[in-house]
Amino acid sequence: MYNPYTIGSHVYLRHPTLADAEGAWHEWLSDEETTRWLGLRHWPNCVERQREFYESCRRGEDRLVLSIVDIATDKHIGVCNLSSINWVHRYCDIAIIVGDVEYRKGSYVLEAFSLLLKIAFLRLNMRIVKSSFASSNDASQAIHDVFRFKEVGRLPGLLWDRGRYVDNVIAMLERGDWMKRNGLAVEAKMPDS
Amino acid sequence: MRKKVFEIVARIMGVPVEAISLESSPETLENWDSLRHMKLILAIEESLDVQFNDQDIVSIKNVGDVLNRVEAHK
Repeated sequence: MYNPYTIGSHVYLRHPTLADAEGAWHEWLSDEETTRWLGLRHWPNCVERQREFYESCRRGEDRLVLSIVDIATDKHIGVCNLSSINWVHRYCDIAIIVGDVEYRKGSYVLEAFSLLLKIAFLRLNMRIVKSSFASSNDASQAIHDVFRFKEVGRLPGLLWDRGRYVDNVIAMLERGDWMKRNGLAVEAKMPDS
Repeated sequence: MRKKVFEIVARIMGVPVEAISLESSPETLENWDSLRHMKLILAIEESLDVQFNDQDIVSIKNVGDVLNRVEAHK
């Protein structure tokens, strides 16, 4: 393992490297199937743009981008992030891509998502993790259901998906619910002032 | 309990129940992709009235693991 930030059973998460940016990562973000659900990725990607993104990951504290790495092979298989981090209200957005198709079977994505939630709630002290996804994205719906995100709203017909407009589903997970589900003590609430 | 778990796995994976064993996994069942994996977790929770935590969810690698996790919560 190189520079692990958090370690699971089969994957670990670490800061991206220049080698990641120059490897398969930039190709994942050109692939039609992989980018189908990424709202801002309708343009072909290239290694130069990926290098720029990598450089941007090294600046600022409103976004945490992490590479997902298979422990057994030390292969970079995907990326995940907590973005739009608000340090006052303590919320952020969550997103994940397993780019390597060989790792889309089984529980790699679930383990990476679980590790990222743990980072958000326990390491970065986030109060709410939120997310949005296309209503036609069955995989996104399923992963949010598995981790008990609550749907809190929809923007009807916002997103274009292969010939039709679909809803943008907005979902969120509160730390107290996550901690309770995982058998962790929930902190006392601050008294109203 | 084993029979119920096998039936749910077979339904989600779209295969006959006779094709399911404790060792069935994404490596042995072609249909077992990540979407079906998540649908299996949700179907098990709903049908058998159990609630998995995150550790349960990431520890499920095959049908035997599913059965173990269900029995641990019953």
